[in-house]
Amino acid sequence: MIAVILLLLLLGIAVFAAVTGGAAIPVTEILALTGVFLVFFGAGVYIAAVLGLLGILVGLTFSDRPWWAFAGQTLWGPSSNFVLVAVPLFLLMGEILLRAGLSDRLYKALNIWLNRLPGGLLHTNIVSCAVFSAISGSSVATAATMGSVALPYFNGTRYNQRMVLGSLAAGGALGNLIPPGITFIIYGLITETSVGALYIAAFLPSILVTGLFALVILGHGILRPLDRPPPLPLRLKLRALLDLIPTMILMFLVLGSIYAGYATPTEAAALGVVGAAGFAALEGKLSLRLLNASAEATARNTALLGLIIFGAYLLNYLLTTINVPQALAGFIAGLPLPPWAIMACILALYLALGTFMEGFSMIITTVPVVFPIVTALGYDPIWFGVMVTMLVEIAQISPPDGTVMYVLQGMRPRPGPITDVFVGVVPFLAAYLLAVVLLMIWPGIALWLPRMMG
Amino acid sequence: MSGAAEPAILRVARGLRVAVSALAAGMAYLAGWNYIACALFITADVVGRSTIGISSTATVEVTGYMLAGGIAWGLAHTLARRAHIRVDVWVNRLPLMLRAWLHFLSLLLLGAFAAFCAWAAWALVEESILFDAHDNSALHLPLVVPQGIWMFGILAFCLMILVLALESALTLLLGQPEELDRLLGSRTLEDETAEALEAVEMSRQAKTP
Repeated sequence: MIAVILLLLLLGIAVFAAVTGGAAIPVTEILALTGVFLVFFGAGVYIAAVLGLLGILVGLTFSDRPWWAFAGQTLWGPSSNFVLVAVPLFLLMGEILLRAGLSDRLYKALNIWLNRLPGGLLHTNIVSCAVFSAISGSSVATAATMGSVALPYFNGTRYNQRMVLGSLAAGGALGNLIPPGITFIIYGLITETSVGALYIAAFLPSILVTGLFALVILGHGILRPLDRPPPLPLRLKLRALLDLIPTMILMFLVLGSIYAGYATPTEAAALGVVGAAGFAALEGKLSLRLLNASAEATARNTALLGLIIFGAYLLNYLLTTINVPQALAGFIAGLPLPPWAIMACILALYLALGTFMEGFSMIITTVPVVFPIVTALGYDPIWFGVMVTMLVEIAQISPPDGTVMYVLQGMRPRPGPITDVFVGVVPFLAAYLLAVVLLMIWPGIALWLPRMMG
Repeated sequence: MSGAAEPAILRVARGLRVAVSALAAGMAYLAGWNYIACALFITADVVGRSTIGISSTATVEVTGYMLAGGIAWGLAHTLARRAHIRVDVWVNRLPLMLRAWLHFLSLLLLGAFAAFCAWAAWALVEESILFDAHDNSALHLPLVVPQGIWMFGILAFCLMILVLALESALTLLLGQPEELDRLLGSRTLEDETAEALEAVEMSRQAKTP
């Protein structure tokens, strides 16, 4: 509910600025549209329908051109776009891996290497989530998968329950930031930014966030030391490394081919699907049933995304024909505020929205309008893509309404109040926010690598 | 639910909905396998390009069409599985009767939007026929084929909304809001978690006993 207050506050600022600025902005119309938007949203209307119908409404009210003549092309264009083909392919890869049992091995192997550090198994939570999210694109899937693998290890240990749940939730929130994330594909599609460049830009920030998480756990482990398990012989450790190989090869296949410029993200995703199916076959798990279940889940998740894209593109097309994003961008850029203050407002808006909206619907809905403002302010589109993705992820683990946390709450073996998860996640949330601030101060963290690689 | 006491008309509506759902599920499985084919196709293209220097030269276009078809053919099934995204934070806290009406209203609005999409798709297909439009790929494919497949998916989506609306309207008239809530209420987090766990469970099963 913090979200609602924050949104109203931002709306208030916008209206105030519009009135005092004396610029020719149709305040009443914008407010009416925003009103319709909020009522529809509140009533639980399908997001795609809200966007699409709002678009039609805008067209009928404000446009005197035959906009409907281009509606078919507006819907067909994005849905047959090669960049977007990466989405079902990455989803498919994740679905296959989820069912192939790679996550179990990953956790066991990492555990052998990490369990003697202060904080022990908690590091394994973060690292295995980070690695898993490097091959999967969804936060809920990462949290659910790693949660189901990891939680049994903590049964009967003296680990702090809150930290266990918190670290898993935080790890799940790395899912979309660590390449290859679906969010970046959608962002790239809407803003016509290179998805490959976004993946490269997200590399250092992902390491930064993962590193900060590790520091949080290290701090916790030093403050509340637990008995260290006895050291394992090197031979066992090396054997564990063998279990990591499939995951590493897959990561290399997908990310390596993108980073080396050898394949586009869509092609890398296709290689990833074939690679994932190959490892499932090696495990003896590749079956018709597995492929069938993966195919159905992929079809469903792609369709729900596709429908929202239909609505968003229709709305965006109509808003663009009546010049709303351009006018808004010009207006906001002309405000007597420093760019960083406006950027801070935009980032706060994302944080607020993210508490009740699901990641990609939020990006599809807002980026078409916000993006022109961002570029008008002189910010780098790639940097902004990384920032937005981080904020969407932060929103998913911010109490009281983060999806990932409820997933974990539903899975914990020892029952307890949801507040355990909330308290546990707070230090990680702070670390994540710190990373956002660092990126705001030094955009180079995201932009240096893409620049170096041309 | 209430077995014999159920009016015949509701049974007919339910039967209709079940039939359309089955069709939609079949279409969604096809859409899913179509993505698998897509992955194989693109992989073959990448491997072919780098090893023996051949490529289909129309991969970008064809896989784009496959995506469009996949999205459209998955829409109806996604609705039947109640997976289309809505913001339901507030709705789920409302009393049952009000909630049921809001579900119904949402479905009608979705129907309006879907009908518009279907109309737009039809207009596009008609235009492609009129101008005998072909794409720019080396294969010079007629656009009416992929666009027609795409349109068919959107039409199936409209049909799904229609039969769902019919059944919902009847349950409302007969005073069974809980039935409607079950039919249209969005999937809860428990549903999603259960699904992820089910998938993980599949990975735990012994290879072959």
